[in-house]
Amino acid sequence: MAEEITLTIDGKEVKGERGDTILQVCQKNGIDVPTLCHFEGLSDIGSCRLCIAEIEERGRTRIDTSCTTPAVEGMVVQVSTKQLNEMRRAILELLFSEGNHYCMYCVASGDCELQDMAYRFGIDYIRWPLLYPERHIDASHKYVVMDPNRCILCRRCVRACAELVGNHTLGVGGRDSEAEIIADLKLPWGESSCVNAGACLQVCPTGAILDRRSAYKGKKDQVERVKSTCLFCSVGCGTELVSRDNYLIRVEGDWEAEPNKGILCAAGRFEPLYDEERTRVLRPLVKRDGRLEETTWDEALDLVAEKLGDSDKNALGALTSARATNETLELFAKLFRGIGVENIGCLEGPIAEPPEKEINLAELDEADMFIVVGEDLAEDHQVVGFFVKRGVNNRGARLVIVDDKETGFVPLAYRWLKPDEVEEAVRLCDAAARPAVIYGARAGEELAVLRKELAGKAGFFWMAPATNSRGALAAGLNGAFNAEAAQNVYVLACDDGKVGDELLARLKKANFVAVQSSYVEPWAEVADVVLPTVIWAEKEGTITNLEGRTLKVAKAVEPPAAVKGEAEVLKALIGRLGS
Amino acid sequence: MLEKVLLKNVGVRYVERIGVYIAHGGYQAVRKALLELEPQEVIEMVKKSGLRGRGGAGFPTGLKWDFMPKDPNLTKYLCINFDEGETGTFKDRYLVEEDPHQVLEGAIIAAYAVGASKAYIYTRGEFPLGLKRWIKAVAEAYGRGFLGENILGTDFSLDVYVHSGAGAYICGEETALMNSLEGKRGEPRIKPPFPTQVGLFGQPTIINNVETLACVPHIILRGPEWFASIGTEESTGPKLFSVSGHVEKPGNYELPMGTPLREIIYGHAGGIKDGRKLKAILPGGVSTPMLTPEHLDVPMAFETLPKVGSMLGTGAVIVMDESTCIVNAVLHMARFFAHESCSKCVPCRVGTHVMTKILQRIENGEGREGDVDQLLDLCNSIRGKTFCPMGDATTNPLASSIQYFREEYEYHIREKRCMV
Repeated sequence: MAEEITLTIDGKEVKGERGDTILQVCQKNGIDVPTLCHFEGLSDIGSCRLCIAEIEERGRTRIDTSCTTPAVEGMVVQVSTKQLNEMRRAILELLFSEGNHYCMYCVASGDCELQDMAYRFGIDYIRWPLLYPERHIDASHKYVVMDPNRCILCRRCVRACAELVGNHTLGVGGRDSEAEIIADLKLPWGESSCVNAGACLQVCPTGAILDRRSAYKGKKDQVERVKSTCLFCSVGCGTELVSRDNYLIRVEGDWEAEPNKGILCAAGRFEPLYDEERTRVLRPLVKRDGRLEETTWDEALDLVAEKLGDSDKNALGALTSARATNETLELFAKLFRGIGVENIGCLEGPIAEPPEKEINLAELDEADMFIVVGEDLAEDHQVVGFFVKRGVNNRGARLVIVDDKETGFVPLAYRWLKPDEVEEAVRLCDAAARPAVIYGARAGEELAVLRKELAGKAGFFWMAPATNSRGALAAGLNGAFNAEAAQNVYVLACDDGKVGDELLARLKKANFVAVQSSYVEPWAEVADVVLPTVIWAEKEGTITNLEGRTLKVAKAVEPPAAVKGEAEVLKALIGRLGS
Repeated sequence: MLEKVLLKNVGVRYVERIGVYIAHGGYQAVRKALLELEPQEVIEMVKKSGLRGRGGAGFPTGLKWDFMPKDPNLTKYLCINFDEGETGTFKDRYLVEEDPHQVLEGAIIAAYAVGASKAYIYTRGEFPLGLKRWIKAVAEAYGRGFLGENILGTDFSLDVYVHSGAGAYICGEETALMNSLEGKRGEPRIKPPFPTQVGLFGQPTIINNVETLACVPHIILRGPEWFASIGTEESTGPKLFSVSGHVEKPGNYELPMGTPLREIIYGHAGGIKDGRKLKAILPGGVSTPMLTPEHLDVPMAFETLPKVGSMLGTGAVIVMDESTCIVNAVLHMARFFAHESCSKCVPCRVGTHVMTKILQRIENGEGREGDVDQLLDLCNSIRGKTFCPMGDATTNPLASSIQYFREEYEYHIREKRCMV
């Protein structure tokens, strides 16, 4: 417990903890201090100067920023005198004269912290001459656009890139009127080392960094926000789904969510909205003469029930995507166990059960050494990769990669070892106080060596291969699926497109395949019946992430009219099959 | 006082070579400090001498050294601030180009006193000869055993690295200098923590100006009492005054602290050029408020200049005669500050540009009524609200020039031309 301190702010006696800044004490006590460069969770740099306070300490009065001044016992602080507010107004006017701030054309108008500040301080004119700098828009990035005309150089993006993502792509370049946010050493953003985490986009207080897709599609009072969980890998990042009129415009990270604390990767933030090119199934489809044709729900369900009901139980097979919610997976297990199906598995393949005691994500932030085994953090579970990058780039932690493959993290690594050199990784651990072993699905014998040698010393972190691997484990659906034996197969594919070619080829030979899927691809040639289902943003329920945390998945938009939820269809089948 | 102290070797042929320097009594202070004195004794001597930092802020050097943690197991650093960027100042360059070993000797003693094991010489990017001098001087000092392991057979070891800056004014600010040394963008850091606690690479660090360090060997050899006897009560020792502008003999003059401006300008620098009349003086570089002929008898010392609303700064006396257009002169200074603002904080980054823009329009004959008040308003909006002292510095020449020469600004605006 930190030591409590008492100080006087605006004549009120308030309490804080030693080590707090004045701004933190104010926030804890509900005293509003205007700021632009401060952002919760990022370090403070004191650049905007709006949070200035009059500080009286040891008989001397001075003006300093409350975000950078440590609170000290007995301090007397004023944060909202008339004089201070006049200074703030002058500073704001300077900001407006610096950039090219044309609010009426700006994507952020109504969502802009600078604009809000201007209204708050009653800025109806700017006393200084406007500088009209010539600044060039960088639209080279696939997902975001940088418009430096609106940039106030608060550097939140720079800090988010460095401190949250650990990537250090963004920085400040130039001095004088040429000072600007640059990517790497002033590369076009789209050609830089950017990993598309989009944290910068989310922290930008103005319209300087804008999302290509959601630009001009809705201001903060026109949109609805739903807190949910990202379903694109097993980290289970907290998201906020932003929609307007049942149209999903943007995904943001939820700053309060436990596993990720607001950080997302491209796979969760941008790719589902920008890069989804598959064809959505809007009505039930039945294969007639080799072509999938639209039909009614009753007809489709009857057909599925008939084929499954009549079949020899040994020839029946059931496959599910481990991206389904816990509730769906339970129902799925109930349905097929109920009719005596033994051949049940996951689309992602069998999932090995991890040992019980593993470390959680937050503990990775304390590790001083990472050993990554059989996992490419640049490709999968990228948010875990950001934890590692933060450790390596910001805290000086060591990264050792044990892998056959040259993963995307090898350039960052202290050593890249082959699996048979695993003893070297154990030796390197001698220098570390809190090593963490992060292992993925490709980890083999070397993991057993690490477990044995580093027992009690290192924490082990399991990278569950599929989104809801733990849910599949809990429902007992993690076993091996025998594709050879299955003649009549039911597949709950959800919106998952990742299906092995080998499995697809096998299924093509099957007698009857019913697929519950959001998209036609890759099932067009395989499926005899396609039952349309909801996508990630239309689902409700829970998943269990790789740490074992149960996380809520919420519905942000309504599915198309004829599309039914996963559970609804499974229940209808239970009704028909009497299981 | 006519005896030369810091400049005593100037004019000695090849004194930049260590052999010549030693032949003229060089490195005796290092011998005395390392072999006869404890580090704390050195600190006490410097404290007693009253030496104050010559880089502009005038912080007592001995006190700063005493702030360093005494734990011998800590890695500590010394930075030699040779980023002499203040306009009008050329004393450090002179000292290094003429007599580099004197400064290096002071640096070795400073490192010994604070227990620093590594020293970095941050050389301004525009000083190629200074850089060359440093590289050679450091190599020679290694050769003679004044640097490296176990100097003079003691336990004290010191490595010195010569680093060249990239030409940013702000890197003369101590925390920006450390950022630059670390390979980061040259921008000031938040204080606290102060460099003596968390400095270069996160370790306790002392940063001293070149001229400050040049004083140190003399304090060691001739005693703090001798040093304190020179100058005034609160500003002791000899000081280099870089005199530039409209004087007959611009240059560096070594004089005791507290020498009045009149003596510097008329007694040493030969008076105003071509017999013209003095108009304004910047007593310590462009960061210090302007003075006028009525202030000629003010002693140049840390404690006396604030009484007339100015500062000693680096002691760079910039002299402007009656032919100077004050608006134009201040515009030049504003442009300099706008170009050199590190861009970290709003008032300095934008304020200097707005300042330049208003001054430019006054100078162009497009000034508007009320522009002068607006400039003062701007100064108030910048002063005291910036991240580092540079923001205050940007307003100093402007505000003081309006104070003394307001009529000249008004004339520019009214008549759309210059009065001189």
